[in-house]
Amino acid sequence: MIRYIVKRILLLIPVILAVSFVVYFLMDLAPGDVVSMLAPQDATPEQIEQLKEELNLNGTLIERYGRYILDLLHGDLGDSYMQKRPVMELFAERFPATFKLALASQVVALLIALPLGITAARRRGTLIDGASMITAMIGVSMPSFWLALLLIILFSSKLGILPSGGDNGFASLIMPAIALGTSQAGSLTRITRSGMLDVLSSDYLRTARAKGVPEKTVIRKHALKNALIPIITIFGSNLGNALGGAVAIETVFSWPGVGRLTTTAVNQRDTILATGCIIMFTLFLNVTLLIVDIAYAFVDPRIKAQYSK
Amino acid sequence: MTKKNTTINVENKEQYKKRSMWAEVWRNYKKNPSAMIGLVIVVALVLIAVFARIYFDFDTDIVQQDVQNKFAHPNGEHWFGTDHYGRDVFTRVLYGASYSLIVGIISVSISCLLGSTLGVVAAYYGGIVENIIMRICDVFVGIPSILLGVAIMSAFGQSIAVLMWAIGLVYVPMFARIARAAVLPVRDQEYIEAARVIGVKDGAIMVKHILPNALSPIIVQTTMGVANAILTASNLSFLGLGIPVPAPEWGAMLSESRNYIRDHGYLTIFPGLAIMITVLAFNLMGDGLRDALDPKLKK
Amino acid sequence: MKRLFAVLMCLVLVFGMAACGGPSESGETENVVTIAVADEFTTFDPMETSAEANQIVQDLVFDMLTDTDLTKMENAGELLESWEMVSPTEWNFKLKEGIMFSDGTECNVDDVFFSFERGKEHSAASGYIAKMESWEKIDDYNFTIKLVGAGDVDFNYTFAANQLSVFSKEAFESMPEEDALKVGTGLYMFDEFVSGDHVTLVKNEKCTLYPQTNVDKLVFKMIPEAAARMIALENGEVDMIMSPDATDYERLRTTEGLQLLEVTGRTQHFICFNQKSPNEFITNPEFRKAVAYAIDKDEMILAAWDGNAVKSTSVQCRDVEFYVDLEGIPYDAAKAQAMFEELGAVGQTFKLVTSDAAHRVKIAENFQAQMAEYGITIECEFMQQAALMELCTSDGTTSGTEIIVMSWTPGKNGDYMYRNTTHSTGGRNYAQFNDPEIDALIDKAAGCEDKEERAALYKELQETLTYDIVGWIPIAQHQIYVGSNDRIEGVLLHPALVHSFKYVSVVE
Repeated sequence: MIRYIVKRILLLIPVILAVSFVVYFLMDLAPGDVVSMLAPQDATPEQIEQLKEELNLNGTLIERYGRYILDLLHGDLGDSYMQKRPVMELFAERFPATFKLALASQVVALLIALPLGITAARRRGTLIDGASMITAMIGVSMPSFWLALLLIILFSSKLGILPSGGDNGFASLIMPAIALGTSQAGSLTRITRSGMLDVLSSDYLRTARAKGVPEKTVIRKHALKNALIPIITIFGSNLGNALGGAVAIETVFSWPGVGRLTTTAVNQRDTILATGCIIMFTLFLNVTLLIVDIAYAFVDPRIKAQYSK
Repeated sequence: MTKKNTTINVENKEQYKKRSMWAEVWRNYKKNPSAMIGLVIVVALVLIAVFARIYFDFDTDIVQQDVQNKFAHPNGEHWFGTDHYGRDVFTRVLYGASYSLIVGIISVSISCLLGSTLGVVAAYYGGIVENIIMRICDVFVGIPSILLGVAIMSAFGQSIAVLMWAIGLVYVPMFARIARAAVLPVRDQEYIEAARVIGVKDGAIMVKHILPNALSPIIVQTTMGVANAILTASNLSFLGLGIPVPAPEWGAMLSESRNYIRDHGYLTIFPGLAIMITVLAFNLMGDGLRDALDPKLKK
Repeated sequence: MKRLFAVLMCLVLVFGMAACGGPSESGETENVVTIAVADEFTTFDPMETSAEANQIVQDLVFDMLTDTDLTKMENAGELLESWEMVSPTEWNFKLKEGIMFSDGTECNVDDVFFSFERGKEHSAASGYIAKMESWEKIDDYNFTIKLVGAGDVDFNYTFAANQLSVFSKEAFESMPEEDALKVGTGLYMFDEFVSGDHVTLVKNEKCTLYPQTNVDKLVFKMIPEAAARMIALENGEVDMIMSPDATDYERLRTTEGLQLLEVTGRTQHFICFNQKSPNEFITNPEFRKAVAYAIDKDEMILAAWDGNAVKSTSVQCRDVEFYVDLEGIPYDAAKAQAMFEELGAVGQTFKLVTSDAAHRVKIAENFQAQMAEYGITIECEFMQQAALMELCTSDGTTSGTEIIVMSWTPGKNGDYMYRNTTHSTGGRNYAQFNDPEIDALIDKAAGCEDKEERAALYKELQETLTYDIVGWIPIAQHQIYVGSNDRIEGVLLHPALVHSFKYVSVVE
């Protein structure tokens, strides 16, 4: 198990290097540069030179990337061109908002998926089953930013009961979480349903029923427990999706998260900030997946046994 | 099934089997009402897209402004109302179908072709080739796709071609993984070994004997992939990085509608509905195909 | 099962607590004014930035030697009591006495000089510092400055640059930079900054330069979406919103309790020609004139700003010094058609580039439609602002641009207006001017001490550029709007978006 974890962590190094390479070069390839965005309108050529010096923008692309990689290997993501602050600091400042949103969206997704999936499984083959699954699929098919706009129209503009944006307490979290969570609920519903079906047809449940345990208790005590295991796996990748998918939602809701930070950085050609943010995103995503894998192993002894082989 | 098999003419067995597989899939598929709804919608969308392209003139019907008549709410003349330039939203939504379909289908074709090739090659050769291909895929799977898309679109500029490549490339690793996983079990089978021994070329083995094993999951993934690609494309357009204005791409129309949500909510509703219906149709189809191709999975 | 459920519950709890732990709006007697801005505030340091989103906030914390008096729209002393131009290269300045920093020290010449020295190290400010050859202290409040080269007869305008804010020397010497940057002479002090969300200022009780108001706290909330800002204003989440969308002007004007404030912006929007383009039509002044005759600017203004803009007839922006209200090249479709036919331009196709900003797209699309009526095809390309800037400031012979929809926001003085855009060395020479006569005129006007003579020189520049060269066709200066509720008053709008909130107070 430990060996497996160490191996996975070591594998992250080439991933990070590759991501830095791809994003840095893409950003450099993009027309327009940060100097023209940063320099005052009446800047003199000397000022432009000084600015390049300040931003450490001298030298060829390879030289600049070389310097970047050297810093990166020391764990330094550099300073943002536009904001003149360490990328790490900026990311750390904005990440909690995104994480909170991603987590909340997962809670929403669970709140939708569990009842739908369980109902569908218990009424398998009936109209209710079909309706539940179609509902879930409509959720996946909706662009989350569209749902976001619809929610704003209804709850902020027409009813005026929820704030239209910003990160100010629980009320402001509701709409972004619903918008983002609904699209995540689909796959979760499917997994819940098939997990439940597996369990419902298992021998031990039949035994339980035969013993005369009431149906409610069967579902709650025996079935749900095992059906939930596969949900954990999808939880990890869903959380990752939510992190990445939050970009448009953050824009719509003026949410002070890293998604908006990253797109702004790309638009302003802030290579260092954009690359740094995407590296951190990737790192976080991979670590989440790793943790999920490990958690999975702990919950399901069969898998744990596999690792220790 | 076994009952039917007994009635088959033995000489035609080969031919029958081929036919029977797809016929069987279609038979299964037909039985699934939601899948059929998906199929009908997709066919209708394709017809609408073709019809709109032929019937409407881009310059006069789609782009031309009629500022006097802006923000007309849905009425008998303008079913979906008019936008901030006085353009008919219904016409634009119909015309927009072609963008979403073209982007969805072509970009997924790109990822499907590249991805499955990589996946099959990786599985067939194994060893270092497999390692390299799959590690590269791991790298790209780890990057949030929207952010990667944003970076690619910024680097190469906004155009429909770049958009298709950006989305296509983003989903390559997923196809590679699926294809590899699907063919992995057969690579050590005796018939492959046999083909090799009698001198069949590697390429031929991969195409004729290995790839067919991955067909089912690839077909399902492709259909679902179109749905995903359409969503991603509209997401990028929404962020201002997709198909440039004045093309009536649904995501871009949604993006334009943002400033008017307070008084002219209909501008937001229709393009979004169009996206949802299209994506839903492809998802339903993919779902139906999955069940039809692999009845074991159907629970 | 229980373990799993517990984990899930923990997650819910954690996020719930994190969500509830937001900033608590407390204090019943506190007057808090919240302003919704569109662009992100990024830094406290005025020497690090030239973005209005930052300057609007920094302007409340720091003061400059001079500033634009927004009630009279002219340059006036802020920290300076008075100044005197001995010659274009030598200036005497006198500071106001008794101006206190928020750390309790008095602002004197040492602080000014310290700020100059610091400015040298920062590229955003160094250009202004480089205009000065030397500075010398006479006493705590008086100093002289020698300028480089031929000097500058408008040097007092330079000191209005936000990048030349005056810092407390004492503060920088006694505390870490990030704390020292919170010490200024302004009416407010930096309190809290949450990146991407809001920045909060609290009142500086020690401020003597500006009258104290009844506002205790100013919050700038970043809300990028115009519609969301409007909703926030209507729901009472904020008191004021920057740049409302045109569709909301009417509602702001007519809704009880809301108001729409406006000022004509200094930014001129124009259709610009790359005079170094290999395209012979583009480099022909007759063709450019014909285009000028061809454009119905009123229609364009209607399309781009719903009519909320002032038509430009001269290349010079309206409130820049020495503006002359030229008649300009009028709209004359028949004449344009005749000129196009004579030139053989009918049936030709031209390339237009601009950024994806909404009003520019609208101008471009309207221009496209108008030119189509003369049988001229315009192909539009929209790109991101960063890409457009690089393309239009690079060498015109190779950039491949022909027609550009652009804008220019000058400072208050004439030299700034022309040197950057029409001088061959200008950093924003979008029209790719390379005309020794124009260069000479600009240089001559800049060194001219006599006001009347200077006015004549700028008039000549204005006429030549507007009627003869037509490097760009001026379209309009759009109105700048701010929406607010009637709880607050005293905001002063700035034609270049650096609005002033110094006099904002809550209506009792």
